[in-house]
Amino acid sequence: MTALKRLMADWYRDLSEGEGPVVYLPVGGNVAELPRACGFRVFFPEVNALQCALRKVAGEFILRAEEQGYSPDVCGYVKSDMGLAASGGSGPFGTIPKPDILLCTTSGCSTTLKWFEALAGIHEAPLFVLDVPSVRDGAADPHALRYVVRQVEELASVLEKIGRRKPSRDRLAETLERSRQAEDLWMEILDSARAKPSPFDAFFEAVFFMAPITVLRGTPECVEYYRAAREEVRGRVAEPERRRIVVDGPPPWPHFRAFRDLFKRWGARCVASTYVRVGGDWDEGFRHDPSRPFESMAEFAARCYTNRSLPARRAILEREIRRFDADALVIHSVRSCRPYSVGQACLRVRDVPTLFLESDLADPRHFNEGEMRTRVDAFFEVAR
Amino acid sequence: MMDALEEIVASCGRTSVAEDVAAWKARTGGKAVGCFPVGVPEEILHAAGVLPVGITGGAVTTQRADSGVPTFTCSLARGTIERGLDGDLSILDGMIFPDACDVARNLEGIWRENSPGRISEVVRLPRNPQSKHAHAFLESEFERLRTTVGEMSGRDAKDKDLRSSIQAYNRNRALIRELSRIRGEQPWRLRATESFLLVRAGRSVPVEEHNALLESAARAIEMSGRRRRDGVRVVIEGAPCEPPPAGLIETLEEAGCLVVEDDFLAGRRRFGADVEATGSPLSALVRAVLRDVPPSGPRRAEGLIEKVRRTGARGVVFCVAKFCEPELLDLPLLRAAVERGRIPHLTFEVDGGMGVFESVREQVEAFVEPPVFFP
Ligand code: SF4
Repeated sequence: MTALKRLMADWYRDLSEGEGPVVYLPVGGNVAELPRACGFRVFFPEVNALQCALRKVAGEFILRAEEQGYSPDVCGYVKSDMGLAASGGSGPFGTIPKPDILLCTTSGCSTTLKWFEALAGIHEAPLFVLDVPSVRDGAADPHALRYVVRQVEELASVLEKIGRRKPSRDRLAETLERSRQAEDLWMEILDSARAKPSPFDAFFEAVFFMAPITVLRGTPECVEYYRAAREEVRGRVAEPERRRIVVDGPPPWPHFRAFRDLFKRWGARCVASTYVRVGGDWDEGFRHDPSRPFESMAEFAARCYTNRSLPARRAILEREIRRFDADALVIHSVRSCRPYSVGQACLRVRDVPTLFLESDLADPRHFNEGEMRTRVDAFFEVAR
Repeated sequence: MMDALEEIVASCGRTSVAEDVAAWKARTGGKAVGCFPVGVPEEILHAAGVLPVGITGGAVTTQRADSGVPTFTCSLARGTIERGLDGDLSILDGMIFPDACDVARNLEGIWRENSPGRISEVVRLPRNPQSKHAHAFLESEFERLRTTVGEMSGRDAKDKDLRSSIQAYNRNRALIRELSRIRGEQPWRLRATESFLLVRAGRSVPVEEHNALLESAARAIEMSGRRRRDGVRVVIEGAPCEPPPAGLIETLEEAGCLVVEDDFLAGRRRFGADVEATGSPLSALVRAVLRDVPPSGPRRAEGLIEKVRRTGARGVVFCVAKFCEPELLDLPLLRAAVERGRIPHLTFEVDGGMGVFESVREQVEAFVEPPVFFP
């Protein structure tokens, strides 16, 4: 955890004190390797909003945005960020630099597009939209993938102009190779949850462990982090577990501990989760590939979990339940994220007991601890 | 006594969508497919002999707990699934959803999971129209749709069929543009509620029939001797996807607004000019889509100010569907822009189930009264 804190602190420090052009990116299906290889510093408004929620300052920012006319019914991350902008851009982590360009991939949600449009207006910076068509079934169809690849090529020349630096083939290959290495290590860690008992919690721990692969993918620090993390997990003596659960949905960041403890009391270990796939997934051996630079970035962009149809998501859940030998499914539906939550209640998997909970990922007002506890307890009580 | 136009408008609501579709199916033996707003290319369905049925919302009556559509989604989404699965829209042979918003895109999966045997498709509209490759992508996307629809109806949409469908829809859009022109210039000759109902009537009949209706309405407007009516000229913004109930528009007008422009039923009005009916028809459709991408965010705010100036409107009424995130996210930007332009504005969050408009009336009356407009 301390290594992680240091990494995140360094990331913020580099943003406020470092040199080089700045690009804003969303988490979902981003192609961070490309701007990184062109010398850009990358910033993720969502990750910042998440940090605000975790540090319990999002509530104030959200109120501030609502005073400015944002509805109580829109994404809490956006409001947290708009509230932050209205407060002069200074948050708990220092001042975030203005973007030289915003690069919005559409695979995560269409809300980010509105968010980035608004930010581009505030900062008077150009916005590049990388349109990633949604994926209906297993894999993206060829014409959609071709369209994404071509746009990544177009993006490369835009970045070159703004960053005044050509993305050299070698640098890009090196960056992608580091992504691949980190991905291999990260997959190994996630896979360790197949052991019984599992030494690793694929939700309550993984949501922190996934930070470097989200914000630092392609850097040497990221590879180092996962190498050390894998060793640490390998050396663990697993604590006993009573239940093996799969979790669908993001965590309620402002009440993370309280939420985690509801499950801990029952000895429930999460063995697989979908939230770790909100950037993209590495199923069926997919990895970033220096020999197919643009193609693999495009493919990664399409593989973001919320870019997939509900039937495809159900198939993933079924597969993970089998693969990790889980005995229950927990669906956490958050208001803020419609691509996640609309239809989520029909994702129940046959013959697998399912617990459905609702709150939010950023807005502390939507979390009712008493009610949640009652439902969690009732669920595990029955299934005991 | 009703004038000729009022009689035509009254005829629009006499039969329900389900009755219209049932009658058409009985008459032709064809299939009917729902087109969720905004952006499904109806021409492709029409050319394959399928009836495209426009989904325009309405009240949500029961909450199907198992449908998976949460309560914090627009009534359009909730209503479509509910009515499509076991309500009046179960007469449809399938649904096509554009991925215009995250909710619409996910509805496709819900529909597919719950309606085996009926078609369920997503049309992915390009969100990067600046890309040189958006055209090729969208053309393949439309081609894919043409194949799916053709397989379903048993009749291929050949290029020549598509060209004549494009012509029929061009005629439709030209007639609708004409209604908008009249309203912009002499709003007392055609009320916003009337034009809304006239345009909406096209949702459940073939386009040729709708064209005939609009032509007769145009003639009736021409003949009518309606007297000039005073009121405060306003633009309505914020409802391109889920429109407000007609009663709300009527209330705005009764309370003193002359609605000179609105963005209701945007799918029927998305092209500012004709789609070319020569050459490759799919390619022509794609060019039109890429040419007339609706502006969003700050660009939309600029467009709104321009619209207000162009129409000589004195105020803006925002009618945004409750829980509609795309509109609710643009709203603060739009409001900030009209405030900078010192344009008075008023906001309503609407829901397909709204039936009582007393508080709307009071707010509008206060809005159109001096001193807001006559300082
Ligand atoms: S009304 Fe808004 S939220 Fe609902 S489907 Fe339309 S765009 Fe999406």
